[in-house]
Formats: sequence, structure tokens, C-alpha cells
Amino acid sequence: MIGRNGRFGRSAGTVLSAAVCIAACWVHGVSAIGSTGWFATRVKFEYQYTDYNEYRYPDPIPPSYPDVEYTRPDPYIADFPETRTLVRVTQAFGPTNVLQLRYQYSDLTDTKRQNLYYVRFARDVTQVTSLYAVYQVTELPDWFSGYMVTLGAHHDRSGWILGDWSASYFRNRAADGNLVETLIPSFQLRYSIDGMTALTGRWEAYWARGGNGKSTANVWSLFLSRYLPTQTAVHVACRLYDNSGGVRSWAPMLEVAQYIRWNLTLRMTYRYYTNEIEDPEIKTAIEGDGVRSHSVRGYLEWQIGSDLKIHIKLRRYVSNQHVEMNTYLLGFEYML
Amino acid sequence: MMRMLRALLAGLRLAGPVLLFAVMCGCGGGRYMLDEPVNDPIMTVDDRQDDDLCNVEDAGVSGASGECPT
Repeated sequence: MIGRNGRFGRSAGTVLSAAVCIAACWVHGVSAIGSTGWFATRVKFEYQYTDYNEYRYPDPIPPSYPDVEYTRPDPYIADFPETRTLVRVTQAFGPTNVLQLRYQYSDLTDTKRQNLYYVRFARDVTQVTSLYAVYQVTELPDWFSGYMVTLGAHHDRSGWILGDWSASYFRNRAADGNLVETLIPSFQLRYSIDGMTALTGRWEAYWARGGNGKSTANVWSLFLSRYLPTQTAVHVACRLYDNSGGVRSWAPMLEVAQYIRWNLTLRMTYRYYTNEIEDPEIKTAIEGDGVRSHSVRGYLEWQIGSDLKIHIKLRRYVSNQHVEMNTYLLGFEYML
Repeated sequence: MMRMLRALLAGLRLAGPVLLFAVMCGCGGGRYMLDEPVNDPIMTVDDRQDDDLCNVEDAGVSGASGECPT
């Protein structure tokens, strides 16, 4: 008999009860690890390769400013990642906390290789609201290094109303010692007009200051999404951009997402980009008065079983800057 | 008095499920049902997916900090 008056006495019974509770919690905790548990782990590996056809990077252009010696790192068209490798681990701690770690390596040119380290922590504070914080370090040896801190809130009312607010502080130092600080507020709201239609709007701003003065930029995006009975979603979007350097652009986009099977989806996207440039320095680095580009992309997501998802992307990009490229992406996402 | 009470209880018995249904499926909970097509994963969209393009096309200003999602 185990209990207050048993042969083991009160303390022994308490200890045994506690041991049973601990054992039960341990067993419960072990069973909670996995795809359906509170400690689920998701690992993503992604590799992207870009084929530039005949394109080669032009020589750097050294623009001159009255008071500051400054050499533009590259011409206007620069830094398309030729190859990019990404590893991302997402770990849940209980039902409300999620930690994400990411490392990204980009091979920009023959001499420029970028490392990006990223940590994100999110916590659900209510059933519909979560708060998150991000810390990111970017290293580009011999060019610049910087870090970014982001604080934000995400609101999800069962998908009918989605809101996201964030503010980022980005600070980078170029190899020549020039320090640039940028504040990036963003606001996004998705509202479901009815059971098959959603409207999304987003605004981002870039308020930067550094050795070369201050600059500002604003980005507005608007999306209209419609679900069709053929298990198709059609997205029409337009992105507008404007900065204090005299660059204005707009980019309309059409995307069709289709279920091929229940576990296989295909997204086909066409995007057109055009801009107007007033800055004479930039104009010296481009062909014509502005940049025009066409981008066609196919993106396949294939869920295999309950644990593995495969991502495949193919993209064709053509611009009036004599840049033509094909981009291939292969990604694996695994639920441990 | 008892007759009124019985009538009230009968009314509540009848109206209760109706009110509950209206709350769950009408102006309240029904609006937030998860199985509506508008909540389907293919209804999500993001024009920032091409992060390597947004690093470049706007003169390297937007996305220059690497905040484009992947």
C-alpha cells in the first residue's frame, strides 16, 4: 500500500508519485517530438543556379561626387546570385514558440561571395496574434558587412484577415568605411472580400542615411486573388516603387496557381518590370532610358507523404540591358 | 405563471440551436471557417519571391539589405 499511512510513509509515497508523474511527462514529452508534436522540426535545403548565357559583368564605373570619394561597387546591373545555397531549420518549442535558423551562401561574382546568417523567434501571444524578432548578419568580404534587427507582429484571423507589421533597423559598413543606416517599416494587410476572393496591400519604406547623405524609398504592392472552382487561384498584382534618387518603377504580375493533384501544385507567373530614371549617374551605367524586363516562372511544390516536400523552380529572365538568364532551383523540406 | 415559464423554456429550446447555428455559421463563426477556398494555400501570393531581382532592378535600393524572403 502506498499512501499517507502506508509502509513507505508520506515522503516515500510523495517521491514515488512524483517519479510516476515525471515518467509520464517524459513519455509524453518524447511522444510530443515529431511531426505532430509540440517540438516539431522542419529542415529545408535549397540550391539555386543561374545560367547567364552570354552575359558578362561589365567593368566597374567610378562616379565622382564633389566632396566624397566614392566608387560604385559594380555597375547598375550587378549581383545576380549565380549560385545560392540555403539551409533553414525551424524548430517549435511547445505550441506557441518557434525558432528559425538560416544560413545562406551566395556566389555573386568570381570575387564576391556573400554569407547571410538569420535567426528568427516567434511567439503566439494570443490565438490570433504572434510577435516575432529577427536578427540577421550579412557578410560580403572586402565589400561590406552589416546586420539587421527586426521586430514585428503578425495577426491571423483564420486566414480571413491577415496583418503583418514590422520595423527593421539595418546597419552596414562598406569596405571604404562608409556607414549606412536604414530604417525599414512595413505594413501588410490581407482582407477576404468573400469566401473566394482576397485583397492584399503592402507598404514598405526605406529611410537611409550615410556618408553620401540621406535617401528614401517607398514600395506599394496590391494583390487581387480569386479562387476558381477548377481548384485554381488567379493572382493579379502590381508593385510600385519610388525613391529619392529619381528611380520610379512599376511591375505588374499575373500568377496562376493550380492543383495538379492534391499533393502537387504548380504556379505559373509572368512579371513585367519597367522603370524611369532621372539620375544621370545611373543613366551612364544602363542602356537606354530605363530598365525593362520580362520574367516567366514556373514553381512546383510536391508533398511526398507527410514528411517531405520538394520545391522546383524554373525561371526565364530577359531585359533590355542585354541580360538573359535561366534560373533553376531545387529545394527539399523535411519534417523530422 | 407556470404556463409562461413553460412557453419561455420551449421558446429557448427552439431558439437556442437556431441562435447557436447563426453564431457559428452566420455573421460570427461562419465567416472564419477554415475550409473556405480563400484560406487555401494556393491563395497565398508574394511578389518578393524573386529576391535576386529585387536586389537589382530598383538600383539596388529595395532589397539591398537582404530582407527579401525565400
